[in-house]
Amino acid sequence: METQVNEDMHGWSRAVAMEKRLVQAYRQAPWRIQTQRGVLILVVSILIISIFWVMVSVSVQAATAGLQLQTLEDEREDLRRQIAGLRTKIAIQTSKAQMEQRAAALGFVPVTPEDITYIVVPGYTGRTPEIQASPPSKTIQQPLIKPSYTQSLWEWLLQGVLEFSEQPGGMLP
Amino acid sequence: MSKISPISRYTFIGGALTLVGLLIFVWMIQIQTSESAEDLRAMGQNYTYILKTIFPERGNIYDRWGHLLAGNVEVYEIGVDLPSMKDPKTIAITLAEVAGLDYGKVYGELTKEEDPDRPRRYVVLANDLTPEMIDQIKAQKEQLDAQINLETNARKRAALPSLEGLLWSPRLQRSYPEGTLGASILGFYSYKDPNEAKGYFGVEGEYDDLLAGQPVQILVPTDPYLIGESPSIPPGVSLVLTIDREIQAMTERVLDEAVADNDAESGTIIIMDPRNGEILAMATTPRLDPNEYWMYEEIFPNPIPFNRAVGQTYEPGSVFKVLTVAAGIDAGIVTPDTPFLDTGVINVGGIPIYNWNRGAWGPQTVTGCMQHSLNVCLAWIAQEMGPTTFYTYLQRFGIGHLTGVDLAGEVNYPLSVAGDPNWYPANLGTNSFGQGVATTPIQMITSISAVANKEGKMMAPHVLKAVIENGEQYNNPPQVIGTPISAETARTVTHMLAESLEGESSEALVEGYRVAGKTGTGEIPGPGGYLSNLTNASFVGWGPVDDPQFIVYVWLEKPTTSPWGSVVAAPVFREVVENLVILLDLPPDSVRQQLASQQGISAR
Repeated sequence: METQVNEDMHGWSRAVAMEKRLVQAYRQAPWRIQTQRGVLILVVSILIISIFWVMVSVSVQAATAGLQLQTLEDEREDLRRQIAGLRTKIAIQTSKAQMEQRAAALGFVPVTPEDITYIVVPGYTGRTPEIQASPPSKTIQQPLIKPSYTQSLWEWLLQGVLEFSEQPGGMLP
Repeated sequence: MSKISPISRYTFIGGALTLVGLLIFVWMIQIQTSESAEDLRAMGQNYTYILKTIFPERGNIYDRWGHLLAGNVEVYEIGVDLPSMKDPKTIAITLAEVAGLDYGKVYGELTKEEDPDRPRRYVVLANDLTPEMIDQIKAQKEQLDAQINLETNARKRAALPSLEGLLWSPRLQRSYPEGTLGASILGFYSYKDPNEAKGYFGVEGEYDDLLAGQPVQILVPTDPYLIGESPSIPPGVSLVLTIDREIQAMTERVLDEAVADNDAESGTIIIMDPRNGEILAMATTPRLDPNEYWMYEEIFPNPIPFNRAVGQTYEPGSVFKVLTVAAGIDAGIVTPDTPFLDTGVINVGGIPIYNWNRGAWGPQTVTGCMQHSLNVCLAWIAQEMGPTTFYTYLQRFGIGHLTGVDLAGEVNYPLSVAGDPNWYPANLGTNSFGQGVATTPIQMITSISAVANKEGKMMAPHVLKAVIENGEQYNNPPQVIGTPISAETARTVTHMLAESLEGESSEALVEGYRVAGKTGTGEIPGPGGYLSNLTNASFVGWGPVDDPQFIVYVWLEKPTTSPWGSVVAAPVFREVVENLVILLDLPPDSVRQQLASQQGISAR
């Protein structure tokens, strides 16, 4: 009877020991768990930081582009003013009074009818007015900034879909 | 001794930090949703955008060959931001040295005692400094700033000269490179105050809206995230005129000499292409340098008009006979050879009308009547036509109406016709030779251009040849504003007036070129009747007769050397044409016909 009990006890303790061994075999070591958690936090942190970095970076780029745009527009205005001013300065330098003075200084005198000899120059149709600008055209003014710089992703996708659908038969080329 | 577990310590610190974070977060939300947040947001909105008015560049004005007659130059407004100003003395000295401003005035303005109710923030000291002046000021400021930065002692630094607070901003200002040349046509632009600036007289006045463009107010974001492409503000429209700079200069020179030589009160010369109505030159006296437009009231005291060619009516005298004879021939009343016995007087409407010399010229033809400028003969032609026909023709010639020339300030004097309360039968006689009727020089040249172009078509007088908008040029086509007479009549009158000039060996004849024309001496009406000593001397002529390319109108007001148009105005016409044919590359008639035949042969 006692032998039987001892055997039972022994069997039970063996079973418990076996179970412990199994649990120990499948449970992570504590340092591993800590490492995994640390890595997870690090990955999530890096992900969040990356997202913020991208956002900040894009924002900074947008702000820089905005400031550059304003600077360039100011520069364009400056250049326009300078061009207008230089054009007028040239006109002052080549004004009738100035040119007459220069011509006189170079020894030229006003022509008289006796000095003139008229000849026929084949193909010459007389003095033609200087063309100040080209004749009217049907060119449509395009904005300076391409739409892709101002469109949202959604607008860009929508435009792409619309363009695709407007192609003959809606087929890809 | 109890030992605190490290885990509980970390938990405590972590919890405290989390709590602080949460508190900050809650506080942020509270601030964002509080009542004052709306006010703060509204205040912030005021600084989000700056309202900016952009004045487009005023359009340029060119002559027909592209010479710039009116443009823009870069100038700077200079002022002082008073709160940041440190050294008014140095600012005043610098501006006196560089820009020639009055030291005392500048210093006084900068150190003026402040009105506590209206504190000043910014003071404008000058608004027309050149870029070169600004470069000098900039260099001086940089030099002074460098000295200040080198000084380490704060007290010494404060005592150093400084241009702190001095600010400048650029803008465009109207400029007329040719000075007074063509000033009567151009008008002027009052540029001193950009907000009140406006074009006056001439082209500047007539096309002010086009030249100015559309000023635009835009909101410029101060937040760089909101900055986008600013709307492109197109400059004002540029104008290309029919005026030829060389011809204009020559015309003004000849006119100034004629006015001085004849001691006339004023003078006017218009040169037009009768085939299309293009005005090649228009000179009047006095003239204003539009770069100094503020002299206007001094140069043009009331009632002197800015441009007499369009702004003053006068009784033209015998140049008007061109219209009467053209009407008579066109109506079939007379021909150049119709005989007329001049007895020296004719009674029209109960009033006797005499010739200019009160003489009787005996048997004449209509050509002879024009050659000797016989008032009696022309009054007879008008009488033969009758008032209805005569005035119908005058109305067809546009007398009494504005020509519509594209120059601001055109005036007209209404024509009294039969049936009007202020018309008397005697008017028929006096009107026939240009008395009792008032016109402007532009009206006369426009009416007579119908005769001069040999087609009987009256062309709209104009100075605008083309406009340039957004880099594209739009031409202004010539317009016919009436056909008062037939082409045959125009040719007949032209040949008749060429013969009459040759017949009287006129001072207007030009060697090598056959021209047609007519003198005019108009008496000047005053409060008590006509002023016997003073006249308006005129001449209208055109040529070459076989291929008319120019018509010239000369008017000298109250010449004192001689009252007669044939003496004072005809030589002016000749001098103008002698120079004009050179500038137009117009060979003498014989050469032109020879060259034409050569071209014909080579073409064959």
